[in-house]
Amino acid sequence: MSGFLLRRLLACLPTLLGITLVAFVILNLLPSDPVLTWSEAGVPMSAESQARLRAALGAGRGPAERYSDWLLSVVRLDLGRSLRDARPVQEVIGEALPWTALLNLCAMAAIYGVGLPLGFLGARRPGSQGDRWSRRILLILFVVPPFAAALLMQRLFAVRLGLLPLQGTGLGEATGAARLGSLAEHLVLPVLCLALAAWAYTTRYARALFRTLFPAGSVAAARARGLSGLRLARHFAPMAALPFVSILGAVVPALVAGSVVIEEAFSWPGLGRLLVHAVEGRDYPVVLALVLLSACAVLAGQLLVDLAYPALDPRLREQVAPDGSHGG
Amino acid sequence: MAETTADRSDPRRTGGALGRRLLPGLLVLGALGAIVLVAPSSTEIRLPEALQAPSGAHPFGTDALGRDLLARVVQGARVSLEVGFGATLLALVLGALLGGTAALRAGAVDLLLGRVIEVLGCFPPFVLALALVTVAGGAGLMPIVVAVGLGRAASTARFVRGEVQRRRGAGLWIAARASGAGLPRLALRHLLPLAAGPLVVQAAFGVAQAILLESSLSFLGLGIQPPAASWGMILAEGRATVEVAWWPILFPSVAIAATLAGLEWAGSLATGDE
Repeated sequence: MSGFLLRRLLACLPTLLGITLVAFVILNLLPSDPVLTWSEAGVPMSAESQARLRAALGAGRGPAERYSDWLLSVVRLDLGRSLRDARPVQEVIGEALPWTALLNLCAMAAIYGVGLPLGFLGARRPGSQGDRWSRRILLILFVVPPFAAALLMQRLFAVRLGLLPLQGTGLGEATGAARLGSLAEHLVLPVLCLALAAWAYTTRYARALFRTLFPAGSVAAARARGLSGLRLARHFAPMAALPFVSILGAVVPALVAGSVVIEEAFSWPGLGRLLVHAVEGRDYPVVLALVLLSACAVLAGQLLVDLAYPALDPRLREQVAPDGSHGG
Repeated sequence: MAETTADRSDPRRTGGALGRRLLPGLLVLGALGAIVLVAPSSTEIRLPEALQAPSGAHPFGTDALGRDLLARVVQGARVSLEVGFGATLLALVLGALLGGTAALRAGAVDLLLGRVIEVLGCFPPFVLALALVTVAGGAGLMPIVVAVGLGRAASTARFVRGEVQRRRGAGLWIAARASGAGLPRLALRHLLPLAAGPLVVQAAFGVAQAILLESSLSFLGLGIQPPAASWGMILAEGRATVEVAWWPILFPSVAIAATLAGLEWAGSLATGDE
C-alpha cells in the first residue's frame, strides 16, 4: 500500500510540472503589456518607473529563463508581489483563503448531506413516487446556472421576504457572539447556490452506485444472517463510502469554478472574488497563482479519489499491487 | 442500454439512429428560431420607459435604461448560441485531433499526449477561460469563443481518446487494417462514422457547458462587452436593480435554464438514459 502511495505521488510530479508550464505559457507568451495597460488606463507613470517596472516583470529576458526563474521561486513558495498594492501574493491569497475554505466546506457538507441520502433512498425504491419527483426537481435545479440562482434567491429571500441578508459576510455590523449568528445567516444563500447544481449529479451518481453496490436483496440477506442496527450499518459503511469519495473528483472542480461566480455575486471576500478582481486589474502574479492553485486543488481531488479507492475496496488493492497502474 | 449497444456494434444502423437522435435537438432549435423571428427587434434606449413591469407592449418588461427586455433576451440568444456552437466546434476539432492522435498512434505518442490531456484537464474550464480572457483582452466574440473552446478542449480530448481506444481492438478495425487501410483511411472511414453518434451527444452537452461558461464570464463583466447583449450580461445589469425589479433577472435566467434543459434533454434522449 505504501509503495502504491509513493508511486502515485511520484506520478503526480510530471503533471504538476505540466500545470506550471501551461499556466506560465498562458500568462507570459501572449502579447500583452501590463505596463502599457496601466498607463493607458490613466495611471501616471514616468518613463523611468515604466522601465523599472518592466525590468521587475522580467521583460527582455528569454521565456525559458523567465520560466526556470519563476519555477524556482514557486518551489520556494515565493509567488511574487501583487501588481495592485505590491503585497506578497501569498499574503493576499492567505487573507482570502479562509473565506473560500469556509464557504466550500459548508457547501460540501450541504452537497453530501442531501445528495447521498436522496441517492440512497432513490436506489432503495427505484421508480417510486418520491424517487421520480426528487429526480425531476433536481433536474430543474441542475439547469439553473449558479449566478442566476443567486440573483433569484437574493430577490426572493433577501428583498421580497426579508429573511436573509443580501450579501457580504456580516462581520462588520455585529459584535461578540452575535457575529457567529450573523456569519451563519450570511452563509445560507451562497452555500445553497453552490449546492443546488451539485445536488442533481451527486444524487444521480450516488443512486446509480448504490444500485450496483447493493443489489436487490443484499440488505435483506444481511438481515437474514442476523445483522441489525449498528452492525448492519458497519457491514455496508465501507462500500457506501465509495460514492462519497468518488464524487469528490467531480465536486472539487465544480466548486472551484462555482465559487468564483458565487463569491462575486454575494460580495464574499474569498479567492474567487480575488481572481475576478485580479483579472479585471490585469494583476498577473495573482491570476497566475490562483490558476495554479485551482489546478492543484483539482489534482489533489483526483489523487484523493485514486488513493481512497484501494483503501476502501480490498479487491482493487489486489489488482493494483502487481504493476501499480490503475485508474488511467 | 441494450438497444444502444446493438446500435453501436452494427454500423448499418447508425445512420438512422443518428437521425432519430438528432431530431429532439432540431425541434428545440426550431422553437428557438421561431421565438427569435416574432420578437420585437428594437433595443433602443428610452429612459422615460425605464424599469416598466411586463405588459402588452413589453412582454418581458423594460430594463434600467428603458430597453425592451424581450428584444434584449433574443439578442442575447444569438450571442449565447454563437459562442456555444463556435466554442464547441473548436473544442471538438482540438479534442479530436489531440485525443484521436493519442489513441491511434499509441505508444510513446499516446504517453505524451495522454499526459498533455491530463494536465489540461486539471484546469477547471472556467478558470482557464478567465485566465485566457485576461491575456486576450479585446472586445468581440472571438476571444470568448477561443477562451471557452480551449477551456473545454481537454474533456473532449479525453472523451475521444477513450472512445477510439475502445474501438481500435474491434473486429471491424482489425479487418480493415489487414486489408491494408492506412491510419487516415481507418480514422475517417471506419472510426468517424461509428464514433459520430456518441460525439454528437457529447457535443450537445458541450454546447450547454459552453453557454454556461460564456454567460458566467459575461455575468462577471469579463465576457461580451456592451452594446452587445448576452444573457449573463443582462443578468449582471439586472443585479444593480435587484431590490426594485424582478423581471430583469427572471427572464434571462429562464432563457438560460430552458436552453440548457433542452440541450441536456436532447443529449440524454440520445444516450438512451431515461
